[in-house]
Amino acid sequence: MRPTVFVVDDDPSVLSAVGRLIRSAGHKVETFGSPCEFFERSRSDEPGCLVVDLRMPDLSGLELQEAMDRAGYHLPVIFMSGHADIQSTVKAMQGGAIDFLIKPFDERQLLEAIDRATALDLEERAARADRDALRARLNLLTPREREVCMFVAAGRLNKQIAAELGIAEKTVKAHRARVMAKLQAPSVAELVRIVDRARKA
Amino acid sequence: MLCAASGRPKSVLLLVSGQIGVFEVDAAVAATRSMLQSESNISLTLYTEYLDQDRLGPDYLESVADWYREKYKQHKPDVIIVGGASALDFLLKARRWLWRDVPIVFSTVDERVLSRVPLGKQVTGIVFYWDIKRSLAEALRLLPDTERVGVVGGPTPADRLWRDLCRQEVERAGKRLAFLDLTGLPMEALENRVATLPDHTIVFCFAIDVDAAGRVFQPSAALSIIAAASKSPIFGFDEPFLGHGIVGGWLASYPEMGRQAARLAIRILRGESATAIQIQRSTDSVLEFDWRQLRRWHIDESRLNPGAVVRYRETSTWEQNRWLILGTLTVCIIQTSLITGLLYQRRQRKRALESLDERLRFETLVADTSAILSNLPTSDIDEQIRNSLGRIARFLKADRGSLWRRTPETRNWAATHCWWAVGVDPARLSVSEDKLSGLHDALRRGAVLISRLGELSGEAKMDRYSIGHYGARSLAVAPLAVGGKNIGALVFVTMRVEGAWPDGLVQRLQMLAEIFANALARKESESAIHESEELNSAVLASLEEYVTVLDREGVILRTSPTPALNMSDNGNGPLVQIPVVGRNYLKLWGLLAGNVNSDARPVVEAVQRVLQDRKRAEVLEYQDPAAPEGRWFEIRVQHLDRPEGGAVITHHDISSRKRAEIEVRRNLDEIAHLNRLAAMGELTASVAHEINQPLTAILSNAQAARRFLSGKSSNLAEVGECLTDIIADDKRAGEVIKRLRALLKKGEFQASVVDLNEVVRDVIRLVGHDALLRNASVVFEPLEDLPAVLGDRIQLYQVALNLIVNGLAAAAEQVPSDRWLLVRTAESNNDCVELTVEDSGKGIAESDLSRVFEPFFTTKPEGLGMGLSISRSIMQAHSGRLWAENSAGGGAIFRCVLPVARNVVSTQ
Repeated sequence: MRPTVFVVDDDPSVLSAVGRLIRSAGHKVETFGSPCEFFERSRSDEPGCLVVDLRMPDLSGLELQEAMDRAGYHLPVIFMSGHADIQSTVKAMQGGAIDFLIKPFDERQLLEAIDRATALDLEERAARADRDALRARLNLLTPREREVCMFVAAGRLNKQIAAELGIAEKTVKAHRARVMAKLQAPSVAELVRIVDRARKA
Repeated sequence: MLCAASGRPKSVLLLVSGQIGVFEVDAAVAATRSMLQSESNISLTLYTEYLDQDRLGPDYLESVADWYREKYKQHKPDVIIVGGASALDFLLKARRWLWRDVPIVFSTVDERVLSRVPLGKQVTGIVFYWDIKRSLAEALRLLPDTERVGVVGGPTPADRLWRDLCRQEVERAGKRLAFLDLTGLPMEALENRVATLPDHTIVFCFAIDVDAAGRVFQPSAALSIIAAASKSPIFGFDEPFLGHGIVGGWLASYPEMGRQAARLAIRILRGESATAIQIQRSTDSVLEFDWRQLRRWHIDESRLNPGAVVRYRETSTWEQNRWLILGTLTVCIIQTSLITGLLYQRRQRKRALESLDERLRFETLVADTSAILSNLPTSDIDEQIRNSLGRIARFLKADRGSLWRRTPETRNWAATHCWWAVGVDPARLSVSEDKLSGLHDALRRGAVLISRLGELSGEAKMDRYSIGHYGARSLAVAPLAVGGKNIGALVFVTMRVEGAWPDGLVQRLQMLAEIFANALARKESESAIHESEELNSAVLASLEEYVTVLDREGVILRTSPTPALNMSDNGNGPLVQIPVVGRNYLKLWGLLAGNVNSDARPVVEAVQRVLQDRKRAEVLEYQDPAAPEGRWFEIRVQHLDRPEGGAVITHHDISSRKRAEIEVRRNLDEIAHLNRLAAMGELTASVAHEINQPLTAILSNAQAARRFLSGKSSNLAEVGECLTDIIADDKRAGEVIKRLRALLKKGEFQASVVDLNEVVRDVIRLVGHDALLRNASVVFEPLEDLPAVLGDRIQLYQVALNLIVNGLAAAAEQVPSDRWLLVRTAESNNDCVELTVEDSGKGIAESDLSRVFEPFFTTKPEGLGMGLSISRSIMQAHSGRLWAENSAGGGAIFRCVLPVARNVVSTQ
């Protein structure tokens, strides 16, 4: 799916101009006059990035960022603002914004940020997808298998795991084999990696 | 009948002695031919042969006869016309074998010659008789002194014959005339002979075809030569010769003979027998003379035979152009008389024009005088009267011109205006009436007196001595009358010479007298008015602090105290008590109102309203426009409660108060401006934002457009949209700047019709961003179709801005969820509109509710504290009010009230 650049600004002329600029660079664009509009109409599975004005009547840009996080809506955010006060800038960047553009900004700044954002978004989506897949695999494990998986990932020997869990080593071995199969891990090293990746939030 | 049995046309042969080309021969032949052709109605064929035997000799004749016979074998002529004796001779001789039966008509053959030739049958013709005897007699008559007669001719036998005939006649003529034979000579010799002829010789000349030397001539040419050379008059016989040198004589005409011969031929052709026709003599010769030759030989014309015809008369120029000359002379005479007549007329007219011109100039002078004197301000009249007198006096060539006024009481006449010419004594300026009683009586009756001193008659005669003593030698006097009464006289006198007064002076003087009288009257009445005007202003000026009582009509009954005025020019004279009582107050003001002082009119109207019981009291302010530094009065008019009505008026000088007010207003404008500047400083964030947004949009649009243009498929539609938006945003930014500029401009109060809703919206737009920054909300509840107010838009904007900014500041002190501002517009009672600004702040302490409007009162640490006080002053300047209340919710409410603009149609 092609990434979409979502633009949110309460000033209609700025909104249309910026949208046009991004469109002229060949991106797919959708524009919204307010954050509420954006929430109503967009879907979380659309890749892309978000270009948003920092100060808007209903919801400030920062608040939007927080709201998206809460909703599990992951999109890289690029802020634009007429102000350059340090407080807002720092807060925005700390919140994880890709960039902070001060109006009026040159197209290069904006488009570079968009490129970075969309690239990042794709990466993150891929990473998320990957992690979800691995998590799904992990969910296939029974509780006992999960326990064994964790000990193995921790680097314990079968003997130790048996002692820890109070079961026979042979049983451990059997569990381990089943775990390896369910996780589709060809080796212990791989298993460790899988578990690691699945654990990443 | 004439067309013979054969049916062919008749043929006629002309056989001519001489040669073709000889004038006489040609003439004869031509005449013959034309006669033949014209008179006959037969178709003829004509043949012509020229024998030319004189030149070519007789020997060929036989051959010629043969040749003719051959030639005409097939064309035998029906009749032959023969010209000349030689040809006849030849033909008769050759008749036997040539044309034996053909009838012959001969012509131009002399009778005497004919007698020697046997004619035979069928021959007829025309003979002529050169009447030598008659010609000779004629010549001798003309020249009785003739002693010799010469004959000039050629060498031919014919010539010799003629010579002999002549000789005979000369001898017969007696008188012992000598005969000179000049025939048969070569031309040079002949010339010499004729040139050397002795006196008293006459010459008869025959035609010469060829001279003795064999030279061939045209006979007329030969004659000319001889005639030119000849010392003696030459006479001839042939008509053709006249004009070539012969004097004249009895002349035979060849062409006539030819015609006659032709007629005979026609008769023969018609059937008559030639033999039967008698030989005819030609018509008699004519007696003709050449006038030039007569003159040459001094032959007196009167001696000529009465029947003689004189030809070639040379008329003198006179004779030739007699009529032309007469005509020209006549024309000249007519022209001259016309010119003379015109010149005379011109002189008459010039005189008339001159006199007309003079009259016109005088009329113009009178008209100018009248115009000048009627349009002048009174101050200049005296001088202009003198100038006019001078102009008129100069025109009349008078030495003195003056206006005299009569004082009835003293019976004295005095000259009020006088002009005198350079070099003349100035007039005596006053004279008693007694000395000029006659004149006076005449003037009283309205008579105009124009005369020389010596001619004074009637009543004026008595005054002759006085007038003479006065120095006048002639005078013109007209009475000056105003309203029918004689007030004086207009006088012009000459002193150096006795005057030649122009015509029509009487009426002119009367006219002038009237003009001057009017001018004087006008001057006097205007002076009267002017005096009263000065008095009126003085009265009014003095009324400050006075109480004046008027009756119902406006007449001043009493003033307290009685005003006194310094009426002298330099202001230092004694005070004079002005007689104010009895004057009409309204009229005094009315005069001022009329004199371009419209401020006075409200005063008059106010007083009238009270006097007419329409109002009980009036108070108004009046600014004296005359005072340079500004003078204001407060005039109170109070109705007087008595049956007769009336009013009491007091005047207070409020100049100092007014001046203070103006000063305050001026200061207010200054402070308001500073306040605006300060306010704008506070709102820089908003301002920057307002401008930043359009700039951002413009930049993005422009860069987008560039991308669209350089794309794979140039998307021009998109580019167009970019540009449209750029333009709109640019204008938006411009508007913001404009509004800011207007706000920051230091300006004076400018009243216009203002829509408060619009003002408030502008303010809210401006502070919108700021509100956002503070997380406060601003709600505007305007009244639709709010009536407009009259005021300075910028100052009202300033008030709204102040109130809203204050409100926001108050609201910002609350928690973020409780930050709001409510702005409302509404109609209030008494034709007013109300603007309320309510905030969610914590309100104002009761004791401070009015103190907040004091200058420099502020609760904000960084505030100036001027905003509200300025706003209140602005509201007061707009005849409105501004006050503060506490709202039920705990916040503050600021209310301002403004009157609605009267007589203004709201255009929303």
